[in-house]
Amino acid sequence: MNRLCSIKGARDVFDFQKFLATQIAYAESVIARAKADGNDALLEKSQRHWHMLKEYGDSLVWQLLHSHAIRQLRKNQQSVAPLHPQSEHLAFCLEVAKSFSYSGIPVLIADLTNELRVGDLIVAANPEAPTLVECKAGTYRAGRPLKGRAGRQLSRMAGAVRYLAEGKAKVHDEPLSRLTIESGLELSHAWAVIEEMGAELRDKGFSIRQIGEGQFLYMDSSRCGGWERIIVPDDVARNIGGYVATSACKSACLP
Amino acid sequence: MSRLVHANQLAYLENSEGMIRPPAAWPITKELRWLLMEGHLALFHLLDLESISLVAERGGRRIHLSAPGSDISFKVEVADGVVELSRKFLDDLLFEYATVESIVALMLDVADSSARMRGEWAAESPELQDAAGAERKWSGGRVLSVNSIDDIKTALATAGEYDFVATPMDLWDLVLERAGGLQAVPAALLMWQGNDREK
Repeated sequence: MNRLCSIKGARDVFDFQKFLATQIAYAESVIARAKADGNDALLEKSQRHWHMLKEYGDSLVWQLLHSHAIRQLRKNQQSVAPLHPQSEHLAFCLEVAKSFSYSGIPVLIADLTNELRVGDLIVAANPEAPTLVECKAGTYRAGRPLKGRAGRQLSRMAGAVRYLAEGKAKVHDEPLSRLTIESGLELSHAWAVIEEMGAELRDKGFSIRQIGEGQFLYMDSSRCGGWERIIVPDDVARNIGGYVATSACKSACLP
Repeated sequence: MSRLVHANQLAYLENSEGMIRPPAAWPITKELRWLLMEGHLALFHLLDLESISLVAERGGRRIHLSAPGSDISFKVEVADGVVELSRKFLDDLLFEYATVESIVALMLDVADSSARMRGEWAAESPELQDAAGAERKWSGGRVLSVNSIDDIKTALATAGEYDFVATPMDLWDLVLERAGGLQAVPAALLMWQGNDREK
């Protein structure tokens, strides 16, 4: 978290991801060992850790790309391969990423995230219309068509790039063209309220706020599985009474 | 009649496959980000879906929710019919902590724009659909292979004419230098480890 928060430029972005790659590869080796040993407790713990590491990768994605671009770059059903068996490929990706980063251009490495499923590298010079890079071993020979499975992957990449740059494009294997609709309206988010709730939590042990019509936030330091499992204090129950009283979770929410 | 949905960032973090901003990237203080990201704090969000319809009705508009028990989606009444919106708006509400009032305003705006564009789209539809049909078969893409400084000049002069620019890694620094920044470089790049000139 400290490393993520101290990122100031393209080089820091690269250094953070290099660190993340090492951690993810190590977590994967622990997962493989736990599977081989039949150690379910270690397997569960290491899989959660692996997932959380990628969530930190995603956090970087959200800092560098617009949400519309993120949505487009995850429209791919390609499964996520583990890092360590493809370490040569990862090493090459890191090398290319370093080249961009040290030129002052921030780059995201798709394999270190849950979000990014199109391209190997996402060059985030423009958060709304990033450049995509596919890293290939071997040599491209001019005139060789990009066909087959790899070609289809590349066609999706070309379509996504064109769509993000031009706002309209046909992406391979999709029956309809994609078209962007832009709105001049800004959403009103409750981030400031969440900040206040964090401060209130320190004094009261919990915090609740209404942020919109029929819309409530509740913060506490328990690890409940969901709203329905919270034992809500009396004053809170009154605050949200109109909704709780008519809902299926009445008995679970009210003390 | 209320129709409640609820969410919390912990369940999301442990099960998600993305497209929701993790707490580590929320625009709040570093300390709170860390507490929420690591699960030391739980933030629960309770939402009455009916409030979406209610807020729209107050402004003289109608938004219909999908039937209970089915995947949640929204249908917005527009001048010439109905526009269906995805659950992206619900994700923005539940996980981006947007207020119902601002989401409803956005849904109405997007639905109106979509209806307008649908009309324009239909007017030019034959050509567009023909083009879409023609592009359904992937022909291998238009690739510009960069193997020399002249190729780089061509790449920069003809940006937009190619689907990809294929370049060996050892020429990349030169491409960046000649481009004077990335904006001039065509958007999709194939970076090859090897170099054709060696053959």
